[in-house]
Amino acid sequence: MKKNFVFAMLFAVAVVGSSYANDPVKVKSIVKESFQKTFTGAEGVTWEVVSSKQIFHASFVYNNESLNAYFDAEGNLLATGRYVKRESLPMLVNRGLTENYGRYNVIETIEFVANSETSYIVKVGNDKVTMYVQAYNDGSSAILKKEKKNNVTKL
Amino acid sequence: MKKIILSMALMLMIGVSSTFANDAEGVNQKVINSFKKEFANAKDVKWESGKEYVKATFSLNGQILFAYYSEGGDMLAMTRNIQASQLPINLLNSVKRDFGSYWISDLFEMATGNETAYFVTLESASEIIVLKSVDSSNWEQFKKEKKQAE
Repeated sequence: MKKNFVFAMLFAVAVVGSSYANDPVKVKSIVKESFQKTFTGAEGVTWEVVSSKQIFHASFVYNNESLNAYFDAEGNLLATGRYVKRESLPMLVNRGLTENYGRYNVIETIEFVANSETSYIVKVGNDKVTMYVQAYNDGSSAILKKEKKNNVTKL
Repeated sequence: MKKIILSMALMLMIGVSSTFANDAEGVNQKVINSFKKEFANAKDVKWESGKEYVKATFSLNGQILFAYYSEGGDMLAMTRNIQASQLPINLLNSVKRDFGSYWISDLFEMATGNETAYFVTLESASEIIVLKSVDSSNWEQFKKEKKQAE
């Protein structure tokens, strides 16, 4: 249950319209220390704090890869994420997407690691809907969010 | 399932001798039917027959894939060569951190049933190490050997 909660919270923060604080970022030292320990040698680090959830979000380059990491206020690493190309998705994930969402366009794909489990958040859509799908290494998937598009026709 | 992964991986690495057959002639019809059902959009299909499996090399969505079938038409595994940047991030970071002085001479992804595994071959001047991962997070040593001095 806790795992699902953490994921749902991070999904809301990281993928679907996050609400970051506009104030200058004050990152707790315990969070920064945890970050340095986990991602020693990271470059170009920028921090954002999610105003309501006390989640600290670091964007940085590590081993030549652009990454995002999310920490709680105690400095625990909650998740990491990075944008990946569709062709980088595991074959079973790709096959599952084709089977289940083949009629939609794949808009973006994010590799998401939480609790040592790797999954992929895939944004798919057509002219009527946009969906966020969580896809797993075994090819299974679940819809996280579905939004209808407001089609405005100009006269 | 783990057993299948290991035996398939071994088979792929030691390069079991096979016979090339660029067309489907001589390939069991059950295998062909199974392949067509699974990969309806496959292009440029080439077939090889080994003692214990039939291998199809083909292109799908711009990628070169390999599928291995039993004579009965069951797909044993599907593989593809990948670049290091296509590894899950934990695996990529682990290779860079722990084997920074090695170079990657082979890297492939293998799907068997509903499991995904990764195999990387790392080389230094003196040794060859093969690592495998079945959980996309951690590597375990699959094979290690010293290079013979020339």
